[in-house]
Amino acid sequence: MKFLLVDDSRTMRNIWKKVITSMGDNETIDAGDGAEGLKVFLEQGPFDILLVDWNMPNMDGLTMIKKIREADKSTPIIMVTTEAEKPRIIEAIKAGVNNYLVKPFSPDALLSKIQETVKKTEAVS
Amino acid sequence: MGKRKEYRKEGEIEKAFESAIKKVLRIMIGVHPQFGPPRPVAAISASAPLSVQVNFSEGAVGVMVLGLDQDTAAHLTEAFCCESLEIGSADFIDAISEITNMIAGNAKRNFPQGARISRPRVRIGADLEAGPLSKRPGVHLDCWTELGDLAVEYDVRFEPEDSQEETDYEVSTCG
Amino acid sequence: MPVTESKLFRIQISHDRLTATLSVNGDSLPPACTAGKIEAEIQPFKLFLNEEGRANIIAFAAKLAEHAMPQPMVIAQGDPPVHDENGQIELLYKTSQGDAATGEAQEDSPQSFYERSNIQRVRAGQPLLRLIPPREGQDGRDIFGKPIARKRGRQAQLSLGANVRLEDDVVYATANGKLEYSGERVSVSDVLEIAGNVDFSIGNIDFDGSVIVARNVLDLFKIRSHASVTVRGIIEAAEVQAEGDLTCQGGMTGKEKGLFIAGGTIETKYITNATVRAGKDVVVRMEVVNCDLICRGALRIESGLLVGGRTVATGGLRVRTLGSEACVNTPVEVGIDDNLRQTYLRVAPEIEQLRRKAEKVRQIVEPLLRNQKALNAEQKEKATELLYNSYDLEDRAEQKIEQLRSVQEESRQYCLEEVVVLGEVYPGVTFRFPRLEGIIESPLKGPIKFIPRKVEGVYQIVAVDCLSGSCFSIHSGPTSDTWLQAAEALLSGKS
Repeated sequence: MKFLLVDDSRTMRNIWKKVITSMGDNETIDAGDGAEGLKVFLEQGPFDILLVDWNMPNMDGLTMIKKIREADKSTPIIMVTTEAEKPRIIEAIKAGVNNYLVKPFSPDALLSKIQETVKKTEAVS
Repeated sequence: MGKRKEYRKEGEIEKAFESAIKKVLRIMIGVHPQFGPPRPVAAISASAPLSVQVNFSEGAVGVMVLGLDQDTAAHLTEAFCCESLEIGSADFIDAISEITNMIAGNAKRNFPQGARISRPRVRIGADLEAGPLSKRPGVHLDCWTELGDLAVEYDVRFEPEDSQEETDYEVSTCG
Repeated sequence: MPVTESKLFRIQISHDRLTATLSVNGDSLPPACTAGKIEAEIQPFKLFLNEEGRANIIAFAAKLAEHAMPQPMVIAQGDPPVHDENGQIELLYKTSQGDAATGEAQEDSPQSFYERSNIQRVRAGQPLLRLIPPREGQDGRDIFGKPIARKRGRQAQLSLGANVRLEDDVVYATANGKLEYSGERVSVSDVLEIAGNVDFSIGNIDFDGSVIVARNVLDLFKIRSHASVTVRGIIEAAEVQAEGDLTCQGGMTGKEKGLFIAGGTIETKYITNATVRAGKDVVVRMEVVNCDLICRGALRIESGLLVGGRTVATGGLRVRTLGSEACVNTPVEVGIDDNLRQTYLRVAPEIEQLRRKAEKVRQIVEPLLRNQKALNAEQKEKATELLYNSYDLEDRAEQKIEQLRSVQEESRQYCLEEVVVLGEVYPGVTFRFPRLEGIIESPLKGPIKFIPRKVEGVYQIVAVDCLSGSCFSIHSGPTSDTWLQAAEALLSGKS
């Protein structure tokens, strides 16, 4: 599978990568903010799944997701963030995220979110 | 307003920070912190050998500073990233910022009206010239872990009148 | 009575100088004279005559005019003084029997005789007594018109002892505890000392501070303390709960009804047929027989016996004699935190339920959200809210896992998987460690230590002779109670 990882923290992207690598032979491409993420998505897509942080410089994750959803409604997106208040989550759902994971998370929790999201996507297609 | 004061009185902010530190250090780093009793401090400062500051705005206003020595910071970031990072390197700053960001983010989750948090600001070396980061008294929370000791100082208020006092925090969101 | 005489008349003045009585001086009848003459005759005495006195003089003169011997008549009266009333102390607290000040019974006063405690418990900030200042009276006036000073009232005398403060004439408690008020001194004590037994004369005790009982706690009485409880005699089939330590210098005879709970350590001579819970160690000098005993610390009966009942000692067991020659069933669990077990048994079904609900909601909502075109604005809003709810349910399940994890971490500092028998251990004893259980099949002599160890790749319960260091395995295998493994699976995200 091909993952796009968008977070301004390189450390966090590396943690995601470790979990994704543990799942099997997957490809990951990362971006350090929403603007870069959008560019990569449009230029290097399609992707099987996106992991996106919320608060980032230049363009935040939510704005990036809204822009992606204008063109692509089906690529599953998991938002991984410290934002856990109800209005924020509702906002994210409305923007088109498919799953939501609050930081901090255990590798198992991330793995399970990814697997769950992939499973549901496969069931739909 | 009444509710907010009550919340403050019951020590919920202390619990919010303690629980956030515990959760982040345990889940992301695998250490099991223990805490001393919270104690008041006259002002929040960046007096530790290494400190990371996060400001709160909107639902809550204030500041939080994670203070630790460089050895502890090195051990924590190494356990977090599974690789040894040079103190002061971009990766080190990124890792220690992310740890602090998650602590602040989790703490605010338990604030009555949430909050926004700024991007963490890392200071290496006691920045005593910076003076106090908050003009008001705050709370100091000592924390001991297998990888070293750290402390969190914070001053967080919910009353609107307080928010008018606090205008000097630089706020840009993170996390 | 002082007497003042003129030639003809006699004036008797009462000791309090409030009454002057006119009579004839001598036995012979004086010549008739007018009231005016009588007044003139007594004028040198400077009596303060009022209307009534003058009327009496007229009547006196009329009698003389009739040549009759007049009876003595009061011709002047003063006004007695009204003395001040001394200051008083009003009782503001209510006793368990009713209002302390009025003596009225409380409508909701407990019916059970056990509940009729004579101990006056008060809470910090509670008003206890009011000092009422002296009430002013009025000065009097004697028959000469001179003032008679009233007696001045005294302020109520009250000395303030520990844990009380006086503010605006009201005495308040500054700490929770037992009110001690003698009429002259008031204090609040955070130690409650019972000189004799806890019986019907004392009633049940619920006290914030420490409780010390000089003698025994009798059947069915209850003691609850937010600090420690010390009983110098024995505790019978009573219920004693201390947030701190519980010390009983005699022993605890539960008679299958006794409940002894301490947040800290329990220390006593013996415990029989009781339910015992301790947050820390249980230290017993002689024996623990047929008890349901759970302690988060160690159970130490270094010169005595543990037999029967059910024992969970999270911090290990150290005992002289374990079980009995009669092979009494004596199950012992060590290194197992019952608090963790209870927490797991409570939260595991809740977590399961929350996750199931979350999944169910998502199964319904996600297909709808994938086909948003078919939904109107209200339906979209509703579907979004439902999806949020599913995240929230998952989050709540995560929080419960966190709660469990927190108990697990806490329990690590208590757990010690070790049983040390200094004397003898008999068949009928069964050991349960977190992952292993085993039985004693034949009597063994100590000092001997039972610990779980890997032998040839298999975990077993090993008996180590403390003198020679030699080891052998006892009959053991994986525990049939698998809650710990299930809890660990839940915590590691594998279930």
